[in-house]
Amino acid sequence: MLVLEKISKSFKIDGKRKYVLEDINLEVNGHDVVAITGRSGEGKTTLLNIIAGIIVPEKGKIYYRNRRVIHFLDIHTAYLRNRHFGFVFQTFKLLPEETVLENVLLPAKIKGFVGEKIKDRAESLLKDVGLLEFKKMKAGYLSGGQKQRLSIARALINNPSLILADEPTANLDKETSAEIVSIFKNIAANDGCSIIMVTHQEELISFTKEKYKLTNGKLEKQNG
Amino acid sequence: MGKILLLLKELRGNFFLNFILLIVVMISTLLSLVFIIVVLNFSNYIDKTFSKSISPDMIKVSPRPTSTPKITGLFGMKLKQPKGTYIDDDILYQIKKIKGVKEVSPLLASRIPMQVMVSIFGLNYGSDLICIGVDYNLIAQDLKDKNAIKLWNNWKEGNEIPTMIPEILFQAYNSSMAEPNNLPKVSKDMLIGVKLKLNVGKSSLKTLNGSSTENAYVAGFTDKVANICLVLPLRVMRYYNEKFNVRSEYIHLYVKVADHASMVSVTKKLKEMGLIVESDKTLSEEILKLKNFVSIIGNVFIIIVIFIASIAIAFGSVVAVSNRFEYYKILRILGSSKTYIVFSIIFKYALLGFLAGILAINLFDYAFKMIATKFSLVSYISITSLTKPMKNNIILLSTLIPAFFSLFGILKLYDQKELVID
Repeated sequence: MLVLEKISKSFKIDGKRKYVLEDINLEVNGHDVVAITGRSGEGKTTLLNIIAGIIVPEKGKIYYRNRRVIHFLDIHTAYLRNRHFGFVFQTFKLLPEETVLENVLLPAKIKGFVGEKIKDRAESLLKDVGLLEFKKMKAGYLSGGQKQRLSIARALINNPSLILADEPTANLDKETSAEIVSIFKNIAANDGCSIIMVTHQEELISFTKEKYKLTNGKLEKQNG
Repeated sequence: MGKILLLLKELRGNFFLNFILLIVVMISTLLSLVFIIVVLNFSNYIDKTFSKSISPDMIKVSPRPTSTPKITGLFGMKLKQPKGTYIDDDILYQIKKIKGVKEVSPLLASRIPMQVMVSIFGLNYGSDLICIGVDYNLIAQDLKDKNAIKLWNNWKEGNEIPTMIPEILFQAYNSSMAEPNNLPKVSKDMLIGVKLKLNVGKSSLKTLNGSSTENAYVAGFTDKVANICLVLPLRVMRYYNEKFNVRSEYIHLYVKVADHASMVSVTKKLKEMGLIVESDKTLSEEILKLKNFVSIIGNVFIIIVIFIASIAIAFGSVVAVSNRFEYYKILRILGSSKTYIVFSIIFKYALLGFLAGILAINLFDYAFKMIATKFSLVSYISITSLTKPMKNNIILLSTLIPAFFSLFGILKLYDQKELVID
């Protein structure tokens, strides 16, 4: 479903060009759950940005469903992000002044549809993540774990085929992290989505089928 | 539908800052409107008070003198006279057609020998004399006798010829001719109605075939012709020039123009034709200068106001975008295109400007009328409201300027290469 071919990206640091990603190859098939680990600053988030079409790689190609992702065509990458990808962030990226329901509906609004059907779906997702009773509450008032559950519901609203999760449990306590892991497990098992997650959490890594480690710009597959 | 809802959400964002910008655009539009209306009213006041009540001066047009005598028929060839050295009927026609020319009064000099004989105080006096034919319009203020007016306009061969004596000739006779020659001084009353004999085609030096003696009389005095001559109806002069086969050439034209602006443009055109132009156009130029000066000052103020407002909008848009940077980032990550985000920002500022423009125009209409009435300014103010096209243009500008200057905020948005997942 998603193929990365020899992706490279460098940044200029103190006048010197440093490659944070070098000839990265990755293949993610339908229903795959992939974990990418690595130390801070190793380029994990940059890799997610490149997959999402937000950052343009210097070298290499990305294919999504056998079609090349054209990074320079903003409308094309925006379309992919909205219709095919879902996003879950360490810092949640919610609109705190909007209600829980409005936050879930945001990708659907960007898509252009906000009919009753989509509202029903939003409520159903909120029910799945245990937030239906808070649907009219402003997102800013939710706890960390609730915010992450809300961001997962938002990621699923447009029925994505791929979820990109950036340290989804990093800001949460152990108990809440376990809840989020459980939700991800459910998504992987029932929603048929592929998941690429950047994480340090052992619990999250443990249920993924494939594990990669990003070190010195290279992506290495981990055993087990 | 969803995108429209997002646009509305964009309008709601930064509500206080948007409100401030709305006020800024409204005040700057209001100030611009005040300057526009002041300039328009001042211009109108000048037109009404000076331009209309003080009519523009006459322009005196003369052919340019030539340094060399006219040579015609050399080796059978006719040499063309240089441009501007003569005024004939063709030139007269061209001048009448110049834009801004209201009336042209030509002075046609006799180009045949002429003599005048007068019997006064029991003396018979004869003199060679220059005769000049003029239109009735030129001497209308000086000629009061109805019969003379009729004859001046409708003279035919055989009719008595009404004549006018230039003031300059009258003064010259009394001061320089009467006393040295022991002749009595004359008053105007004594001369009015005095019969004259005009020898046409004959002088003390030359007599043309077909010369004749015509009856004439003194019908009045005029200061419109400043030559030592006898003033005759234009049609009399034309008739005799044609009778003796002489081409009519005018010694002067008096050109009346429509307004002060025309005074400047017509003078320029006449000079381009190579003619000598004498006019006291100082007043016209001063009036135009004053109007232009006030107009420039008004426009400078408008530009300053727009400039300051534009800076405020640009600054406001940068602050507004910075405040909502996180929101735009979320929109972008969740699938909004850059085009949509840019459009939503421009749309917000355009709508803001549009509303401010409409508010400013309505507020201006209301306040201006109220102030004009309350402070009894009505007599000074001729334009109390703007025309519809002007209002449309102001609304268009108040919409486009904020939309354009919101680009600074957009540049700020894309200057930060951080619209990425972090």
